[in-house]
Amino acid sequence: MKKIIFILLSLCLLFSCQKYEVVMPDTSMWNMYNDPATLPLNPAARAAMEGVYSLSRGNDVFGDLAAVKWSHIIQGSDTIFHVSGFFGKDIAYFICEGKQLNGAILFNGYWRKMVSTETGIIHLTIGAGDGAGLLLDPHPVIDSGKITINGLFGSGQEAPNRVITLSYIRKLNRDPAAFQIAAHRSGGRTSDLLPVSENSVAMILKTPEFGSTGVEVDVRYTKDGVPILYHDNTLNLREIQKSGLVGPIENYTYDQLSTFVRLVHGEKIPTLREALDAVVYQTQLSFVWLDTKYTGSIAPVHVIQQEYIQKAAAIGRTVDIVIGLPERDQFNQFLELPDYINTPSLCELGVTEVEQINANIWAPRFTEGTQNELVADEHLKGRKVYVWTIDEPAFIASFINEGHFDGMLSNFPSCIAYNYYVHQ
Amino acid sequence: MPPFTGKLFFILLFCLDIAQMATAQDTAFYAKHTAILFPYPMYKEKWRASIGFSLLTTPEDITEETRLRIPCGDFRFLRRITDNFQSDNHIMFQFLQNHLSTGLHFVAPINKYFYFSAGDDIGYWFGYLKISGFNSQASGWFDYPNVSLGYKTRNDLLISVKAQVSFNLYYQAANGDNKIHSGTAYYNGETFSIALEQPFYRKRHLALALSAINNYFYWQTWSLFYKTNRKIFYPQITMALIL
Repeated sequence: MKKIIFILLSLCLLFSCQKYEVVMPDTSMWNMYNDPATLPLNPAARAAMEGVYSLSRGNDVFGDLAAVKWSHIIQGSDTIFHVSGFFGKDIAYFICEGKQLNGAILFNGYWRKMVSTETGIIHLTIGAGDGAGLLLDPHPVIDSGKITINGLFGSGQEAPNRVITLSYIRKLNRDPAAFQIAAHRSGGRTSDLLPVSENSVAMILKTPEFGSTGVEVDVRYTKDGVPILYHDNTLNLREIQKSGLVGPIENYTYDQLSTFVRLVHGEKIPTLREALDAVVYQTQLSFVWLDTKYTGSIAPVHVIQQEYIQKAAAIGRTVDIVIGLPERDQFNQFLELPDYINTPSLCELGVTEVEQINANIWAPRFTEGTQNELVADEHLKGRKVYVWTIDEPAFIASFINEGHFDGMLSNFPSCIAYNYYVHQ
Repeated sequence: MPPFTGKLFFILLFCLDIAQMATAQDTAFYAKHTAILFPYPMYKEKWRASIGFSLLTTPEDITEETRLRIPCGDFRFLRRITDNFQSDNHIMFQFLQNHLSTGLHFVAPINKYFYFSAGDDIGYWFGYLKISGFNSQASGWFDYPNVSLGYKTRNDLLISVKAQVSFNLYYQAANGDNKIHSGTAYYNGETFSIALEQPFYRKRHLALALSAINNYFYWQTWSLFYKTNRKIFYPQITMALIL
């Protein structure tokens, strides 16, 4: 009997200790893609190939449709482009870089399913006769059936060996500027097993690849009053590597945190300024939701908010940076601002409070449903309505199809992107 | 054909085999037994029941710094059908979310010290959350094939171990007027439990069970987070007074 109990307890321990991780595949091994004769794609080709594609092969893994869209970030003097494919099954996506070679277009990258740890390498090609000729024209005109993307994908680090075929059927169905795809915690949570940490600059630079057009970040103050990005009340191993520091983050100065603390993937805890620098100068993100995790004066954050709205305007960009007000305490602090009535804000409380502070955005929790009548009322008053935080794919689809929201917050922005762009 | 039909077939064959082994032993066990989790046959009594509570710990990497320990009322009653078959009925209640299950179990002694049971339970759960910011409700159906092995010590301590798998048969949820549902059955995970039962006070017996639940979805967390394709480990402790 002792042996049986020992075996069963061992089984319990075995299952309880099961560790999940996503090992990002090495995508540098495709010889054709590494050919020195490859050339970058021109902007017209990138723009023209964006659209909704049907899958005739690989649909058992990814679903029947894909929304294909480009994003870019700026790194120093370089602009780095990625093409993303958002799928309807298991919150799957691929993220690739693209080049042209001898009249064909090549895409090299990885795929991932956000509801699991499944990932792998993906190689895609548009042959000269499959639409690359059209796309590489200086003024490409694309119709249904004119582009066929063929490729292979594999599991983990294995060489791609399963076939995927995508055929262009129509343009992305809605104006991307008309709906805000906002990524929670700057892109996703630690538990979503992404390669970069939540609330980091690296995540802000990564999230456009997931289809995000905006980000929500969590703001706190250090002991010496520096606004930083951090979610939890305390330093803990969910968010940071072992450091020896424990307790509330507000107990430490920025220098202490900068010197001794690293986020789970090794990044520094960013200041709010560093985060907004990345948004304004390195991405095309057009919305930042500064979620107020601190108690105390909002004034220091308000100063930075105004500064970066002006910095964005100075380079010809419109970035809506709003102060998020999740609860009554923060709401009351907001009322202390001398110019609160003209300060861009997002209020999670009721419509009465929203109107009291003239918030730009009302943000109800998704658990109250679509509330279409209230949303319509707020629209009539010139206000936008964003719903948060929806992660269940069926509800994301339902809220996009049946709701009248102007934006949506999720840990899975790629799922919003798929449903928004594919929706007819 | 549901994916678990084959498994049930083998479990049934195994039960019939054990029943043949047990026939010669039966006369030695004709007595009332005070146990609720231990796989005792019900020779003399029609009913057995227990009432208690369970505590579930939510996973830290999902619920983050909100590490909840959720208490849940626990009422279980067994109904004799034949010497070796009994109906196992279980209610877990938190009022805002509840789980009911019923199932048929084959129960038999293997020898003087070891007992065995195998069965299948059907569970229904439902939850409501209608407070500030929430207008949510959800419900679903599960199937739970399970086997137990019991060891009776010489000093009346009953030790049983149970292995149970679960299949999510149906799920529906609504937030306001938005409703979703899924009727696709899938394997949901497994639970391993070890239970101790022994005399406690004035002929009353106490049951203590530790469970390692490893599921994709657990009904007690329906309002907290989205179901993932990662299995999540939930430790659960159950204490019950056998009535």
